Amino acid sequence: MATTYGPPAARRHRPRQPLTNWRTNPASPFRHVDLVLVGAVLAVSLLGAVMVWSTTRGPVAPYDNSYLVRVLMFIGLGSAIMGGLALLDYRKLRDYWPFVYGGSLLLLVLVLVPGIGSRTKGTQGWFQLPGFQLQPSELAKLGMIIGFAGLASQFRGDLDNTRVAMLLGLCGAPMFLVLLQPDLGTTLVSVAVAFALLLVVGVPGRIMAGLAIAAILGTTLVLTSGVLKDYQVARLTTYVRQDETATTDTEKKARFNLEQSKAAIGAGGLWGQGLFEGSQTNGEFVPEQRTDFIFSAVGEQLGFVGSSVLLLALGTIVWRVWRAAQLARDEFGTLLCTGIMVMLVVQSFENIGMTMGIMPITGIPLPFVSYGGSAMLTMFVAMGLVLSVHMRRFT
Amino acid sequence: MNPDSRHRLGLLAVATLSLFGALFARLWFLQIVEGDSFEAQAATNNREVVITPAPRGRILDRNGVPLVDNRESIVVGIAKQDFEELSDGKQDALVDRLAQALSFGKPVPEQITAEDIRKKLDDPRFTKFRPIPIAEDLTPEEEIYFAEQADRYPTVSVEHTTVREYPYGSLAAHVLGYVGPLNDDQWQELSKDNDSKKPYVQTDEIGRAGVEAQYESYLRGTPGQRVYEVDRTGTIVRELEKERVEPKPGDDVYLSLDVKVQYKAEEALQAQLLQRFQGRPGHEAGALVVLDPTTSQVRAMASYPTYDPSELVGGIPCPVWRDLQGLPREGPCGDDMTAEIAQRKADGDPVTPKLLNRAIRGEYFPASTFKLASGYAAIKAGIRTPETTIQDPGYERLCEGDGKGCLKRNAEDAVHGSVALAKALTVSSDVYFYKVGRQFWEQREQLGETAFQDAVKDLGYGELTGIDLPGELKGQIPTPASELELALALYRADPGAYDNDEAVARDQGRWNTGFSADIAIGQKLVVTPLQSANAYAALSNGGTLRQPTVIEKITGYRSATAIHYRPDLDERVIRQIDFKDARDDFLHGFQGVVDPTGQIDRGTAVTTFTGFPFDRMPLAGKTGTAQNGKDPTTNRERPDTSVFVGFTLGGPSSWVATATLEYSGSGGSAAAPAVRMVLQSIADGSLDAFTIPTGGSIDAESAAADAADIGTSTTD
Repeated sequence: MATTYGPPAARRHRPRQPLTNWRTNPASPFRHVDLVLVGAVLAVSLLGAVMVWSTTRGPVAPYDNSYLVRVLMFIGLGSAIMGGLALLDYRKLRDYWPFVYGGSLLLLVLVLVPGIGSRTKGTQGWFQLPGFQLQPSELAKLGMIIGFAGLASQFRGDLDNTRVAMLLGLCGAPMFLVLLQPDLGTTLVSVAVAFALLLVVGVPGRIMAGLAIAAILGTTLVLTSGVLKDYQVARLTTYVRQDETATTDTEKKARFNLEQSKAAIGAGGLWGQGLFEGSQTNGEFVPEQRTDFIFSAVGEQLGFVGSSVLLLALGTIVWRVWRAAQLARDEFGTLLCTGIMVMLVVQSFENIGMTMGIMPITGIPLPFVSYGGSAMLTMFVAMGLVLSVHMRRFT
Repeated sequence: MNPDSRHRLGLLAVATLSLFGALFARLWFLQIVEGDSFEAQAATNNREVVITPAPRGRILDRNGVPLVDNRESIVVGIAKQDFEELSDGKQDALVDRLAQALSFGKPVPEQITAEDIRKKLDDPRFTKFRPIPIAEDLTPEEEIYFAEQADRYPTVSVEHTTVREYPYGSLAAHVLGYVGPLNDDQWQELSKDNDSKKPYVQTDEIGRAGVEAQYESYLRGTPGQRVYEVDRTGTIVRELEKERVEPKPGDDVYLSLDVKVQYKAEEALQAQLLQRFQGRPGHEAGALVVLDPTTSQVRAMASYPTYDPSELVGGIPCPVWRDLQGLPREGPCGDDMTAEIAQRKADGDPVTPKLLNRAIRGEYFPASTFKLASGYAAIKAGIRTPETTIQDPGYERLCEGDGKGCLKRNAEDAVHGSVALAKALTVSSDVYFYKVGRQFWEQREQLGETAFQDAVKDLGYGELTGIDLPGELKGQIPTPASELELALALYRADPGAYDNDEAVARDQGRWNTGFSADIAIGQKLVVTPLQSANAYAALSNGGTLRQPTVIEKITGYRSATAIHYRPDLDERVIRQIDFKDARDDFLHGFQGVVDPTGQIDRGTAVTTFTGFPFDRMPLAGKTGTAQNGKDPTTNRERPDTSVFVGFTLGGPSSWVATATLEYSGSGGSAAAPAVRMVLQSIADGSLDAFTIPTGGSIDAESAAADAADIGTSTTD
């Protein structure tokens, strides 16, 4: 019998799949891109760009547009990454999570090595790259979420104490490294994210309660142990005693930040002083305004109305991420989105809360708004993952 | 996904919603509930309001001739904030270069040293948001130089400001007053209650005397403001242009003064002082006031010695200040100067201060010009009627013995015979009024102890006239009580002079007939020239005593029709004076003093007014010759002070003029000629054609020569 080579007949006669099947296939990921999320992300980040511009351009001509250009560059780059990641099937990450997680841990270790990592304002937390400062703790948050989601999804909901301990260890490692920098704010965000992940993954209530107590004890320990610099403690504690007089210099400095920030937001009133018209902003009264205290610029210039719009837009992003977590096809996707959502919520709340004096002052950026490349790119990466989860809920 | 996870995601959603809710609540609280207070906090935080000075209003005479104007001054200044950013070396170089440029070609006293500049830069009174003025009155050439060489003078700017200008020099200086920088006390006072409409800054000028002080609130412009946003370090970020307020000039004040009459008054005063003054050379002093009796508006107010207010612009240097006190220009200021003045007084060589407005602050014996008041008091008390005649033998014996206090004589021992009120005034019979004073004292049981003093107050003697000029004095009309008090005060100050016996002091301070007789002829009491003028104005206008005013109207800046204030003549009425049926006798008697027509007796100033155009200006008047007693250091009789009051009796315009010339002899010899010089120029119309010499300069010598044909009456 003659052997014929070639594709089997059945295969030959199978109709070819179109290159893109989103027109015909109702489950095609590309029919389920979350445009609301994309719109909200772009809106918030562009508003953020304008706000960063308002704090950096200077009150009178000639204006300094360099920060604006950089922010727009990051938004462009971030959007591209977001798009790229959305194209990528997030489930690939489920297989490669140890590399992602391990890589982020490696960066956290490296940054602590003097000479490789660099120190700014008492925190050993940056890689000085040409034209760019990389803050690995930002990426590490995402690394932790991916690691957690990956490991937990392998347990398939079957958790015993050992597995819970494994998950805790997985979360604890990056937290510990970040705390060594020391970067308390990021650590606290990670704690909240880990807590939420453990909750959603199904850790029993009594363990959760025990963890909560442990977290409180741990925080107290950290505050009193001397790991943190004086100024960091002062920033943390000053909000508790807002109406008292500051006694130490570090406390005075922290209080000054808070007072000026509150004054700026309060001065905004209902409609705000108008874009580029904020006197607190123009007078550079609020320290760190383009980064951590960017919300004070929003509050002063755009008022209650503008701030509410920003809050609602941020809320929209959170809502869409939460929705993606709900709709995700698998536990990996759910956990991924949950972690990202909690990261978003905690950072937004902490950041905005501290500018208004209801949260302690920590160096946490406002997602999509604060000036800072690492944080912004991390957020775009996270959004890419969420989009990927969301659009592949039927495949 | 298991249902439990779904449930737990729901929990997260609830937590998220509550967190966002908390943010909204806090935002609402900060921005809506407490927004206003935060806005205020932010505003004080970072807004700097810089006051921009406004030009003062002008001061004009009643016809709109500017007496105080504004002129532009080119001021070079240094922007302090920018200056401080220069390196130390550059600062020093700049200051040296600037000092050199500003001193180039100038005499040493006018040069500006680097030290001067440093001092100004360090002066804390200047706001750092406006250039600190370094030198004023630059020439246009200098302005161009600084503009062209701007890169050699970083932080240096040239601006135009307005400063006071006096087109007529020292003319009416005492009425106009002057402006000067706020002193520390004034600033303290003002910073307590700074007028929010026209707020002062510490480097502002304020009216310090005269109309400039009295009408400060009108004259002062409304400052503009520029609001700057400043940053944390206090550096200007930008100007909030929508909050800029342009400065608005102050109001123009139209005086009731007529600049020509004022000139004539000052000229006459100086000319007569030049000719008649017999006191210590260089201490000539006197005052001449011209009023419109129908309104008590001041038409001229001259006081000598006078000063040039333009020398006082921008602060008074020590030599000028000493000169104003009547001291030589060289010498110390401050406490040493005060001591020097006191020493001069103790040495019997008191200074003759120039700033003193003798028309309202000079207290003089009115002498016989007070007989209007004495006569009025007698009529009012009913101890005389106009027809009452007394015998004037040339003397009046008040007590037994030959003591001077007992035997009071007429001037020159003149014997006037039978005298009624009108004649007593015309010939100035002292005896007639000695008797009036004596009767008041002898009848004190019925009339009251101070009946005379109370009556003369009706005419405004012994009380403030209420003129709208600061610092008026009210003179002094002694009473038995005040006299005793004075004696006791002297006793307490130096009991040794009274043999340590209070009874001696009481005895010396005891009122007696002699006192009453003396005050009735205008001795032993002091009044201001303005009080005299105003009392005669009341007689002239039929009995209405008004508060004199120097103001015609106050209008908007350079807009004569926008009237902001006009003195209310009805409100300025002090009282109506009832001369009973004696007014005609008063007028007749005073007319006889100057005008012999139809008079029985020759008046005391008839010689002086010989040739005066009475047909155009019916005139009356009263001479006064004040005895000044002995000089305690030389023990020689001091020259008399010459006093005269003249007033019109009907005619096309009404005038009262009073002159007081210290140590210049009898009333008819100096004061009356001075008044004649003024009134005659009005009466014969020469004033209308007259033009004031440029700068208002007065040539007293040629004026005296022109007036040489005026006869002088030597009697009282």
